[in-house]
Amino acid sequence: MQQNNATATLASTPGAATPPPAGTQMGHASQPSSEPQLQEVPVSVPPRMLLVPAAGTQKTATAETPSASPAAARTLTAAAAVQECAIPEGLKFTGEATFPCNVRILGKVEGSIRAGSTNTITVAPGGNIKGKATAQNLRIEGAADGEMCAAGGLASFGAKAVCKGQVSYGRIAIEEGADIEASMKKTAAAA
Amino acid sequence: MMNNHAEMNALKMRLVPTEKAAQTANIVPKGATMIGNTEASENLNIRIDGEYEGTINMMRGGSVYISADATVSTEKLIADYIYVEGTVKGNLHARVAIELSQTAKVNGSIRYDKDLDIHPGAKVSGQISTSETDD
Repeated sequence: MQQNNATATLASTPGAATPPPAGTQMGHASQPSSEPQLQEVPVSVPPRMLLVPAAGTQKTATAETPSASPAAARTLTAAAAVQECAIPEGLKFTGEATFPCNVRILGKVEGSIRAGSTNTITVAPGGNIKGKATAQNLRIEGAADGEMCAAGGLASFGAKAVCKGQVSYGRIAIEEGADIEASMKKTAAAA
Repeated sequence: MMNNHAEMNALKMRLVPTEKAAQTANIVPKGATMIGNTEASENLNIRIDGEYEGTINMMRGGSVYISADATVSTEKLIADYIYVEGTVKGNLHARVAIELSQTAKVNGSIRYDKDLDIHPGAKVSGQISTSETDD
């Protein structure tokens, strides 16, 4: 009886990877007392091992993540396609920022914002900038207060724009209704 | 059980709700640098791909996604959810949950009020604390 028990243990241990019923087949129904113990071993092993296979599957999972996960893919393509970034509504940034792309301001900015020499900074309706904005082109539809530099490009103001301070530009466009009280300076001939 | 795990890994985010990531506003794209302080109203989700230095204070429901390309140096970053793939130096406080992915590198203190998830591979140096143990 005991020998039979021992062989059952040996046989069931390497068989741990295979489903537990293997152990039930090995042990005869005449040993009900030892059966539960034998079964517990293979059952308890997988949960303990969980972390290891988890790490293994994670590596393979991340390799195919961009296409596998719709959520991740969406954010990745969004990042790759960024020609414009935005300070969203409800966000307030105080400080200095440099962007390699077009910038759209829907929230509030206090400080200095600089975009690339071929880019445009847009202050959307409801957006607010106080401080300094530098880019090739500026489009103001919200509120701007401070030094607005459209370096050699177009400074354009929408009908609802409110602007105070200094504006430097290559070309300028002001829609009827724009509230502008600023010193204007043409810096470079527009191409 | 294994299937469940594979699914969770495929989703990449195990703890932070994935819809938070889908609705993020990319405020610091790759190549951009922001130095200063950011404050946001409720339920706003932001994503950082570039360099950020300064504090970030997100109100209730807010989340911050620090992508693999991002470098963040902060004395104080507070949000409901924080998901880190990039490099962070400083102090993070997640009012709900913080998740560090396998590429995350965090040097500083982490405080979380509810859940913490660190993927295998994440590098963390510093203090980790939760409000639950404050007696």
